[in-house]
Amino acid sequence: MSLASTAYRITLHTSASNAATATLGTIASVTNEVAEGNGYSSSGKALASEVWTVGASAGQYKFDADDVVWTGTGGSIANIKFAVIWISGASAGARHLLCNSQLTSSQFTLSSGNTLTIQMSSSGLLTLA
Amino acid sequence: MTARFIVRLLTADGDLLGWTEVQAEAKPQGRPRSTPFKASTPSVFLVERDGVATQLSIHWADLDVARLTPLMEPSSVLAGQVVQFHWIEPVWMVEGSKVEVPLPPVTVRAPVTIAPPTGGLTALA
Repeated sequence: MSLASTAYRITLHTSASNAATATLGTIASVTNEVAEGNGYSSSGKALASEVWTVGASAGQYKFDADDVVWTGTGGSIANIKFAVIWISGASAGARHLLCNSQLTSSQFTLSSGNTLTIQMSSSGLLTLA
Repeated sequence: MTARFIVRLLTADGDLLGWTEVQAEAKPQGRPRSTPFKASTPSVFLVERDGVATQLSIHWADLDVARLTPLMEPSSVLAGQVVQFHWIEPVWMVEGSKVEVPLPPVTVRAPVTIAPPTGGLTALA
């Protein structure tokens, strides 16, 4: 699996999802993506401005990307709890998982007209050592 | 989350020998398990008067709840002494809750910004 020169996507998953399971391999094995509609598209959004840079110390790399925004449109985006980032591969077997985050302790619904912003940390999305 | 506790070193009669402030971090383990608040460093008491330390009172200041816990063994302390206390048990324990308590999604009617912390991936040795 190559992490460089690769496109990534981010999807939202519900409280029933197994997204937090550490042993999952591809996005196909992650259950309960948020339902399509009202501003959320199946397979989520492509990350933009992805970049790997040298981290704080030798041998460490930092991954960063632009913030991601969803807007509830025409209705609510329901039951949001997890976000999962994965490689946008050509085949199902190539769509490896990179990381996941539990966004909230209790799932929430984003009502129409409001935005959900996943704000990437100034220290990067993750570090690889 | 981190909570502030005022911890008092007491005699058997409840007289104050010294006190300190402890910042303890919650370590949630999911329902139905309890959530311990753990101190990351030992606490240091400046002893204000001579006496035999036998117990601690732990006061969760923001909630104004308190508990008493005995020391493993009484020890004589002198005014001016600095006593270091190593927390072998949580500073506070919040009881777990039933798994079947329903938590339907709340509806957010305002913009939401969530900033996940930076994750870390480490190569296996």
